[in-house]
Amino acid sequence: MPKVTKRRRNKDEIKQPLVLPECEADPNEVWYPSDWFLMQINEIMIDRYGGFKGFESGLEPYHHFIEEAKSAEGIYRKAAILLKDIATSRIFQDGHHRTSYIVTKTFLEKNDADFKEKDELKIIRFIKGIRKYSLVEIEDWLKNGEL
Amino acid sequence: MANCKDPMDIALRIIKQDDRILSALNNGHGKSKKR
Repeated sequence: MPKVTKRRRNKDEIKQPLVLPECEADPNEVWYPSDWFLMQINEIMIDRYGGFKGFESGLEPYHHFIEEAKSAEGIYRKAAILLKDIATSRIFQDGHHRTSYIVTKTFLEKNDADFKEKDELKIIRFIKGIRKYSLVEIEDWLKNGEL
Repeated sequence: MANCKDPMDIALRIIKQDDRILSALNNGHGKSKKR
């Protein structure tokens, strides 16, 4: 059995300012959304806005999307890959457009990049019609807010 | 590149802020609802 020791209240330590634990994110690396994150977002989308819950094809295609994003150059190209691939996939039963939008917008903010388009109607129109845009067009739209 | 923000915190804030966009994205798109 491991020995358990009780620590006493430490007055000197209490006087010191609280130090935040170090951030786990590496500032030199790009953050990519995990399987868990993707699934959570899809579940929230269905719970809040309706649709069918659960998987259709499952997570296998998502792993390929992440690999494709990792091998692409530039944060907006990576984001374009995530946005289009998730939106046009059949990972889940439902909610791909909503899930891809939230995952991509989070991806950009977490990696210190701006989602430029602010006009709600333009965003809705673009995401609904995402199939007809090329990766270059999506990348430009994410970066500049225009095609 | 990656900052220290919690991704789920970011996502939840965006969801609240973009409620109208998300509601609109659920209209008539995605898989067939016939079962």
